[in-house]
Amino acid sequence: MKKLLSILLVLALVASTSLFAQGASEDNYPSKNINLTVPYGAGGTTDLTARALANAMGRDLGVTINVVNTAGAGGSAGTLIVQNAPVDGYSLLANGMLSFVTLPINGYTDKTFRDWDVWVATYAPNVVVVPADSPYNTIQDLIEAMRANPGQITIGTAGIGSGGHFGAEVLKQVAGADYKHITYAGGGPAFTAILSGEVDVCTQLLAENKDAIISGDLKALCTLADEPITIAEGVTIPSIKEAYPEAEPWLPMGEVTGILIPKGLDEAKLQKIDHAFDVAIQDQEFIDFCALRSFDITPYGRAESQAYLEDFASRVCWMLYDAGAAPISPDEFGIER
Amino acid sequence: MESKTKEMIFSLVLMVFGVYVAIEGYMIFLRAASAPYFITEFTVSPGFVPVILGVALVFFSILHFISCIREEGKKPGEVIKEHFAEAAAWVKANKRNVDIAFTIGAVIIMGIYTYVLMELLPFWAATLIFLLAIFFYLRTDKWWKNILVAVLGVIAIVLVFQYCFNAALP
Amino acid sequence: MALEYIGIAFMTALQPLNLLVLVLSTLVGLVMGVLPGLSATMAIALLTGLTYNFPTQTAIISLLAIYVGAISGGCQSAILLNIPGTPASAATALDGHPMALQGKGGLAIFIATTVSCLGTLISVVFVLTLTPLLTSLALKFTSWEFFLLSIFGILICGTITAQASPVKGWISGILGLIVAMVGLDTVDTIARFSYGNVNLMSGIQLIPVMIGLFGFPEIVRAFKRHSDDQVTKASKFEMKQGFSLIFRNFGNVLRSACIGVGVGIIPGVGEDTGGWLSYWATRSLAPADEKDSFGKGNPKGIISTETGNNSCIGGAIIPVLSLAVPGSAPAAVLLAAFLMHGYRPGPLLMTESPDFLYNVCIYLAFASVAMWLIALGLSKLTVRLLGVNKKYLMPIVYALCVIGSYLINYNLFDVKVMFVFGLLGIVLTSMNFPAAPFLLGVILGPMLDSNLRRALRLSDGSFLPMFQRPICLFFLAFIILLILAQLGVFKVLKGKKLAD
Repeated sequence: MKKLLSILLVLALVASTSLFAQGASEDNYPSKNINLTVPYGAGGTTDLTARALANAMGRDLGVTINVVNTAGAGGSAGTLIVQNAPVDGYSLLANGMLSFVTLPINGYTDKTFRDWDVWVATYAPNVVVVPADSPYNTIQDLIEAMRANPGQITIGTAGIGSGGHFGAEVLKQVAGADYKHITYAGGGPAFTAILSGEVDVCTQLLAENKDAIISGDLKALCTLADEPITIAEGVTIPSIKEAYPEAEPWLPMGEVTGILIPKGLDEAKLQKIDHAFDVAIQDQEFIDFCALRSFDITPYGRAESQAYLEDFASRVCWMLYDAGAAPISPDEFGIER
Repeated sequence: MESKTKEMIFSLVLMVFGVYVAIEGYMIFLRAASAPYFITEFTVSPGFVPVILGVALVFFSILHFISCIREEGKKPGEVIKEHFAEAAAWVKANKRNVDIAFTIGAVIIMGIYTYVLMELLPFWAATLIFLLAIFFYLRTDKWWKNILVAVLGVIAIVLVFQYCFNAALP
Repeated sequence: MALEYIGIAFMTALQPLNLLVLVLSTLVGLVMGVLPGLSATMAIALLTGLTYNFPTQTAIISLLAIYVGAISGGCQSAILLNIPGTPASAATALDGHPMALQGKGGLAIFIATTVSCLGTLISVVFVLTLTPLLTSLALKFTSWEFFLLSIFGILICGTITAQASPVKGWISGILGLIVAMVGLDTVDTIARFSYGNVNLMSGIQLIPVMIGLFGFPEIVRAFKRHSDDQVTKASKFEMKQGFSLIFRNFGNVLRSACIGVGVGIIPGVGEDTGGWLSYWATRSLAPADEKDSFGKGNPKGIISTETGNNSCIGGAIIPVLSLAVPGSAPAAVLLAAFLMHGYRPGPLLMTESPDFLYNVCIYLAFASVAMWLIALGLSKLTVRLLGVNKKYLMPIVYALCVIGSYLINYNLFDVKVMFVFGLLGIVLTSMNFPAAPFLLGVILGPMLDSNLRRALRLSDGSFLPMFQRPICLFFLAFIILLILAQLGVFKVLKGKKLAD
C-alpha cells in the first residue's frame, strides 16, 4: 500500500510540475494555449465571430485558442478581466466596439480604446424591419409616421447601448422626433417580438433578421450601411441614404467586432498576432461564415483600427450621451464630437 | 431550540430585510428619475419591482409571524415573550456546545479554501491542501488513507476537467 | 420525402464512428449532469469547441447527445445525495431522495431514467409533426404572458415544496426574486443593489446559488464530530416492477410530456420550469388521500418531473429550428453550435436544408435510447456512493462545487457567491424553508421584472391589456385560485356552509 502511495505522490508531482512548466519558457510565443475572452454569452454575434476567428488564428499560431465566455454587466465584466490580467499575450479579448468604446462614458473604466491594441475584423450593418402586415412599406412611411406621432412608434432592440439602440437613434435624428424604446434581453427576444407584432419596428443587426426577410415574414425598409445590400437573389435592401441623404454623418451604423489586447505587449509578439490575424481574415471558412451572416470583412491592422475607432467612438459616444443613456460626457476622455 | 421560536425570530429578520429592499428600491427609482435617465414614471422604473418585492416580503413575513405566535388559549404577547425567553435559554445552554463548534470549524476550513487558497494558489494545490486539512480535521480515517484519497481525488478532478472537458482551471 | 430523409438520418447515425461518438458524448453529458454544478448549458458550451473540427453530422450527434445526457444525468445526484446535478432536476430530489432514504434509490433512478428517455422520445414526435403549429404558439407569448407565467411558476413551486405552510415557500420565492434584482437591470441598464461593484453589476449567477442552497447544507450535514451514518443501501429491485409502475402511470407520462414540450417552446423558459409545472399538475390531479404522499417518496412525483424536464428538450429545439430563437439556455448554446457548423436554423430551414429537421429528430431519438442504456449502467456505480464514507465524499463534492461555480464565467467571484449562498442555505434548511422556490425565483426573476415593465411601457402604464388576452386570463385565474386556496378562503367558505 505504501509503495502505491509513493508512486502516486511522484505521479502527482510530475503532473503538477509539467503543468507549471508550460508557462515557463517565453522565447517562442505562443508556447501554450491562448484564452480569448468574449464578454457575452455563447451564441451571440460577437461570440460567433470570435469563435470563427479563434479557429483560424489558432491554426496559424500553432496552438488552440480557447474561447471563454465571461458575460455580464453589459460586456464590462469580461473586458475588465482581460484589462486586469497580465499582458503576456495569452489573454485576448474579442468585443463588439459599440459596447467597448462606450465603457468609459458609462463609468466602468478610465481606459479608452486608445489604451488597447485593436484589430477590427467585421462590420455588421443595422437593418430597419417591420412585420409583414405592417402599414409601413418604405422608410419614408415610417419616418413620416414618427414625425406625425412623436414618442408613439415602438422600436424593439436588444437593450440600451446595443446595436439596435444606435440604429433607432439614427432614425430619431433623421425624423427629428422621438420614439418609444422597448428593450429586450437580447437579439433573439427582440426578433420574436417583431415577428409577433409586439413592437412596430425593429432596428437590430441584419444578421439576426436576414432569413425572415428572405422568407417574407418581415419587411426590410432600409439598412444603415453606406451602400444597398443584396442578401439573396432579387432581395436588395436600400440604404437609408437614398431617401434621406441627411443621415450621412451617422453612417455606416452597425456592430463592429474585433480582437483586442491591452497596450504594453512587446512588438515581437504583436507582430505574430498581426500575422495570425491577416491569415485568419483570408481564411476561406471565415469568409464563408461572414458571407452567411452578411458581415462585411474589414481587415484593419492596429494603426488603421485606431484611426477607424477615433471616428467611430466620436459618433457612437456622443449619440449615446445625447440620448441620455450614458452618465459621463465623452469630453472627459478627449473624445471629440 | 423549538422550531417555532427560530422561525418567529427569522420572520422578524425578514421583515427588516423587506423594509430595506423596499427603501433601496425607492432609492433606485429616485436615481433613475434624475439625470441622465429621467425615468420618472414609477411603474416603468427599475425601482418598481424591488419595491413591490420588499412590500410583499414584509406582508408574507407578518403572515408567517402571526402563524408562529398563534397558540390555543394564549395571548400573542405571552407567546412572544415565551419564545424570546426560550431563545435566550438556548443561547446560554449552547455557548459551549462542542458539536456545533466542530461543524462551524469545518465550515471555516471551507471558507478559507474558498476565499484565501483559491485566490493565492493554482486550483490543484488549493484543493489538495483543502482536502488534506478537512480529512484530518474530520478524522475521516487512517492518516495514509486520508492522504491517498486526497491525492487521488485531486488528480482525478484535474484530469477530468483539464483534459477531458478541456476547461481552463484557475 | 420525409421517410427518405429519416432513412438517411438513420443510416448516418448507425455509422460506426457516429455510434462511438454518440456513446461517448452521452456518457460525458451524463457525467457532467451527475456532477453538481456542471449544468447542461456548460456541458454543451465546453464541448462545442471540441466538436468544431468534427464532420458536421458527427458534431451534431455529439452535441445533442450531450444535451440529453446532461439533462437526464442530473436526477442521479438529486436522488442519491439530495443535491440536484442541474437546476432542472431540483424537483426530482423532492420525491427521489426520500425514496433513496427508504432504500429504493435504484428503483428511483431506474424510473427517472426510463421516463427521461420516454419524455425525450415523445417530444421528438412533437418536433416531427407539429413544429409549424407550435411555433405560432410560441409567438403568442408576449410580455404579459411571460410576466404571469413567472409568477405562476414561483407560486406553484412554493405551494408544492412547503405543503404545511405555503407562505414559507412564497417567502423563499420572493427572496429568490430579490436576489435576481441584483445587477444591471435588463431594460434600462441601471445598476441595482450593486454598491459600485462590477462583479455584482453582472448579477448573481444561477449555478452558484443552486450549489450553495442545495449542496452546501448536505455537505455540512456530513461534518459532524460523531458520525451518525445510517448507511442506506440501495436494495435490489426488479426491472419488471419499474416498468409496471411506469405503465400504470402512462397517462401521467403523456400529460407531463405535453406540459414539458409546451414549456420548452416558450423562448427563455426551460427545463427547470417544465419539471415543476408537470409535478404540480400531477399532484393537483391526484386523489385527495394520495396528495400527502407527495414529497415523501411518491414515484409519481419522479415520473412527472423527469418526463417534464426531458420533454423540454424537444420543445426547446422547435423554436431553434423554426425561428432560430432558443427556447432554453442550453438550446441557446446548441443554436450557436448549429450556426458554427454552417446550418441556418430559422424560417428558411425547411426550404434550404429540409433534411436537417429529420436529422435532429433521429439523432435525438438515438441519444435518448443511448442515454437510457448508459445511465442505467452508470447508476450501478453511482448508487454505491450511498455506501461511501460521507466524510470522504462530501469534501470532494465541495471541490467539484467550487469548480462548477468557477466555470460559469471563469471568475472566482462566483465561487465566493456560492459560499455565501451556502451559509444562507443552511439557515433556510434549519428553518424548514424550501430552497427550490428560491432557486426558481432567481431563474424567473429577470423575466418577471423586465416583462412587467416592458408591458407597462408598451401600454403606457395601463394594466388593462393583461385582462384582454386569453392566455393571460388563464394564468390569472390559476394564480388567484392558488392564493385564495392557500390563505384558507375556501375553508372559511366551507365552514360557513356547514354552519348554515
